[in-house]
Amino acid sequence: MRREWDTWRMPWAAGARRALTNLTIAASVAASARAAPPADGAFGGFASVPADARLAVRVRDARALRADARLVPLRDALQSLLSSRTLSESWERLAGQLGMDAASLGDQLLGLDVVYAERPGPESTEWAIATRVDPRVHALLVERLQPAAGSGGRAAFAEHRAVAAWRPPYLVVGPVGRTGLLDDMVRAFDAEGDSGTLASLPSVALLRAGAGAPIELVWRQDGGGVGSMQARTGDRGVELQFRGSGDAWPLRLSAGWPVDPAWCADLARGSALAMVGNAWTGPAELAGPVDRLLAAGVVDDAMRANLGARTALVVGAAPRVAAGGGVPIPEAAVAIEVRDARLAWSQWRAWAGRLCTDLAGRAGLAAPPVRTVAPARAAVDLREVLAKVFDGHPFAGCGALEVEVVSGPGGNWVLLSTGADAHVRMRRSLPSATAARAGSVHECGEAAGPPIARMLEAWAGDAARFARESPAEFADGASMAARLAGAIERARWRMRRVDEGMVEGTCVLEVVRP
Amino acid sequence: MSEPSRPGIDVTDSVMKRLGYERAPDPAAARRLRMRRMAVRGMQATAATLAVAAVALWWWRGDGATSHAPVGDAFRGSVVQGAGRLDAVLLGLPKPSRRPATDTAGGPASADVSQPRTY
Repeated sequence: MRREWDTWRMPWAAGARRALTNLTIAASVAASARAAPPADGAFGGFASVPADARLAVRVRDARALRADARLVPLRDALQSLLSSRTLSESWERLAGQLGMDAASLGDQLLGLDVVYAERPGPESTEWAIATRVDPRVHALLVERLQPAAGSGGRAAFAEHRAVAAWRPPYLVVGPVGRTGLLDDMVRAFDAEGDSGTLASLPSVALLRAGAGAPIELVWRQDGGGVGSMQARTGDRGVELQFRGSGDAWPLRLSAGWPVDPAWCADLARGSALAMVGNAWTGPAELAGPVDRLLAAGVVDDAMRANLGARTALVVGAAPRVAAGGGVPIPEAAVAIEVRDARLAWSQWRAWAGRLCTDLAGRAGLAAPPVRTVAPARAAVDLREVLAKVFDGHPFAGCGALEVEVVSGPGGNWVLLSTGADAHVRMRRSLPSATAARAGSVHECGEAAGPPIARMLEAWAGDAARFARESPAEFADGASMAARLAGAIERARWRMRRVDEGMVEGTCVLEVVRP
Repeated sequence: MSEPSRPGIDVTDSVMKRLGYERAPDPAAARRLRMRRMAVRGMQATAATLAVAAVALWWWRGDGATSHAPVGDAFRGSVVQGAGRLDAVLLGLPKPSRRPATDTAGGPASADVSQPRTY
């Protein structure tokens, strides 16, 4: 375990990065598409994408998205993230060649019904776009850009290094030299039925069975499953529906006991983040930070046997500012249900001792004492140790750890916290947990955008303390993340496990008022 | 240079004049000539720098216009770049120090960690 910690390279970041890229691609297609009438979904769509595609995004009726004033803050934040000089220059150049402005080009080329797909190629990623366009626009493309005729009726736009096939009313476009995916998509257009395409996959068929959404996203998950997501506009923002494999952090989900959204809402009031769910009963996953923390103190079989079904997390909205440092750091508290409170107290107090020993060993310091500050409540100050282990990182300020076992009408809980405010907040909410005895939700959570945005902005302003080797990149990323978080007043999600390896859920993003 | 060592020789005088030199009749005039020469050279250097900058600017802009990125690849590149910018937030997460901790023989060891106790 020690070796793994020392060679920690944040493997969970890879999954997060992929998910982020997928979402930003979906948002970018939506942001690029402009005014357009609704398209019919009977042809094209995921039936035109081969089943081995890594990612496919379909955007329909983008005009409504663009015209929706409620989405302006979110769209502005996404555009500032995704815009680049290279893209705008290329887009404007193409628009100029076609005798229209950039916005009109978006309307004409991406506005009706567009599918973007990509998959790993022999040398680099292959991508292709199937977009429904007016035949007059296709004629204009041919007239103004004068493509060379290629094999199989393809048109080669040498200047734009693109190849296109016209399957009225769809134009299928791909890059020169990487036409494998384009070829497969054209074959799918020419074939009868949807065999061998994404549309034939069971999880995607569910998407097609329901009402079409303006944005649909399908991607291959790390574990080999297929994830799908739909996005619709709602009264207060955007509603996302997700379905896919739920065995890997951060999407892993246990179905031990239904959770009570009302408890989550209570916990979320005045917090930056609150989550209520089922304790993970699968193997420990060192990719996740909570598992890693628990593993550092060693959670043995006896402790596992004493665990209950539920767990909860809260992050305070008012971060603590480190003395003399000025950097706000979040206060968090985790509550884990236990069966026997007395046994849990001895187990978790010993866990705190082992955690101290382990971390102090890494720092080359003496282990700080675990002090019993009240009945069934212990405190340990790991800040000096963490400052050494994490080379002075501001998060070392989270090292004032408290462990408490709480018994009451809501059950028996062990409570781990990094700050008094979060500790009190969680402790106060635990009696509310009694109501969690019915329903089909296995995890629910709420996050408030503005306090998270404020914290990220503060971190961006003190970037050198967080990322010494690349402060500029971190500051830029944190600023962008703050802008995105600031565009979302509140996010609420509910997840449930539907069968052995599959989870589904919804997430409502309340966009701030423009 | 402005004070010929043998002013009485007409050949030298005429050659120097043809080469563009001016003869200063006294030290004050020589100082004025030197100052004027420095000013002229300063202006020449400025003009040369501006010319180089103008050529570089023309080359850079011209290069961008003639070898622009294809729209499709530019679109994908823009999205990947945007995701990468957000990804940079992860650079700020705490990482264990690369400095090896001093060996604390007899101190807090992780031996009991590798042998978890049961209760």
